[in-house]
Parts: sequence; C-alpha cells; structure tokens
Amino acid sequence: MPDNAFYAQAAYVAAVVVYGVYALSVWRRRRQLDRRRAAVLRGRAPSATRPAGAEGLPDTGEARR
Amino acid sequence: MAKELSAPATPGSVHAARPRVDWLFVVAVLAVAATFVRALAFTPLETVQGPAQKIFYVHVPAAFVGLYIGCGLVAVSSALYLWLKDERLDRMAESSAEVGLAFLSVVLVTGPLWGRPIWGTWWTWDARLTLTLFLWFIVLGYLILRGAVEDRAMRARYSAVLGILAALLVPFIHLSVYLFRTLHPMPIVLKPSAPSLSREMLETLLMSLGAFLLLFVALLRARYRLATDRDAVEALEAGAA
Repeated sequence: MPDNAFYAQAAYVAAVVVYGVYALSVWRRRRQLDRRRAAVLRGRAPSATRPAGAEGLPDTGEARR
Repeated sequence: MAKELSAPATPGSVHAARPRVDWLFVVAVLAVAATFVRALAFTPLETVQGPAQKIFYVHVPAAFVGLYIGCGLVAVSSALYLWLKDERLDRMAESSAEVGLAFLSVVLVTGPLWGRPIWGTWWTWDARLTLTLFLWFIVLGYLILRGAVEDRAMRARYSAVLGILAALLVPFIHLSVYLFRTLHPMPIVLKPSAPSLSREMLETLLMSLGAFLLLFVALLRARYRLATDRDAVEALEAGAA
C-alpha cells in the first residue's frame, strides 16, 4: 500500500483553513456592520448621556467627553 | 430606540440584535469534525490508493454542495429575481455565490492534493478540472461585479444574468467525464447503477455529505443575515444623511 498519508492530512487541514478563513471573514464583516449601525444610531437618536432639553439638537458627543 | 433594535431585519429598518452564538454553525462545525474523525480513523483504507483516498470524503461532498447546491441556488434565486424583482432573492443569490465559492475553493485545493500521489501530477488541463477552475473564476467575477455596480437594481439584474450563465456550466462539469477523455474518474455514486463503494465507505461519504450540507446552510444563513442587515444599515445611513 502506498505511503501517502501526508497528502490526506494536508487536504483536511487545507479544508479547515479555507472554511475557517471564510467564517472569520463573515464574522469580521458582521462586527464592522454592528459598529456602523451603532454609529448611525448614536448620531440619530437622543443620547441618554445628553443633557435634558438637548433632544433635537445635533449630538456633538460633548456630553460623553 | 429599544423598539427599533428589536424590529425585524428588513431594508429601511434597523436590524434586530443577533444572538452572540450561532448554534447552527456550532452544530455544523461539530458535525464536520465528527465526520473527519470517522473518515480518518474509522473508515477502512482503500488498498490501491492508500491513505490519499481519504481525500474523497472532503473533495466529493465539497464538490456536490458547491456545484449542485451552491450554483443551483444562485441560478434559481437569480431567475426568480428577474421575474419577481424581490430583493430577498438577490440577497440569496449573492450569499449562495459567496458560500459556494468557498466550497469550490476547497474542491480546487483538495483535488490537486489527491491528484499528485494518484496521477503523479498536481494539475492537468482536462475538461473537468479546467471547467471547474473556469466556474470558480466566473463566480469570483460575479462577486467582483456586485462590488463594482453602485445602482442596486442594475447590480441585481446584471449579476442575476451572470449567475444563471455560471450555473449553466454545472451540467457540463458533471457530464465532462463522459463527453471527453479525462484523467478524472467516473462518478461512483451519482450514476444509474449501484454505488461502487463498500458499505463503510458509503456510510462515511453520506455522513460527510450531510455535515457539509449543514455547514453550507449555516454559512449561508449567516451570510444572508449579513446582507439583510447591510442593506438595512445602508438605508438607515441614507436616511440619516
């Protein structure tokens, strides 16, 4: 029987690497999207950290500094 | 804002907060790991090819899922999009193409690793290998095209046409071993007569097919959710501007 186990092991490792890298890329894009969403919502919604009466005014982030 | 965050993920609205752990993906990873253990440790060796034959349990399921399920979904979703103009179908085609490309990449990496010890060469320009590589480039081009066209309706229409054309290659890839002289072996499972495999090998192959299918569904679901939420955030950004 030929001794070629190396090729089988390499193929299984390669498959794990390809699927792993792809799953990581989806996870990374998901995190970037969550940050974008949070940024839009921060800019749009009245912040809990903003002073009373400031709703409707642009959020400059002053209250969080 | 709490109401917005819990709203359904539809374009034009803020997407719902997703669960931190994707249990379907975890189950799929465990299923693939169990399949690999069974294939490497508990499935008999093929006497002529030796241990390299075990690449079969990765290469064939990846090809089956990537070619028939992935490209099939791209074609069906694209055709339905051209008919119904429903953005969900465009997102499904986009997601299937990307996940399918990952499976086709596994096929193109494991194939040469199997060919080298058995055929004595990493690669040969025969019909099946060349057509599969050609399909990989078309699907890659499909995804690049999607990134290059800004208008959403135009992007969906162009990519739907390309997606259908790409999927037309799949029957030729399947039949290429009958139509052309090729080093690639004939199908030993998807053929009119009974499978030419021992019972243990067939069981491992079927288990592997199930695990890879589950992995495809888990990745497709994650990618489809990403596309849905991206569109919702883009609509939100446009509204905020």
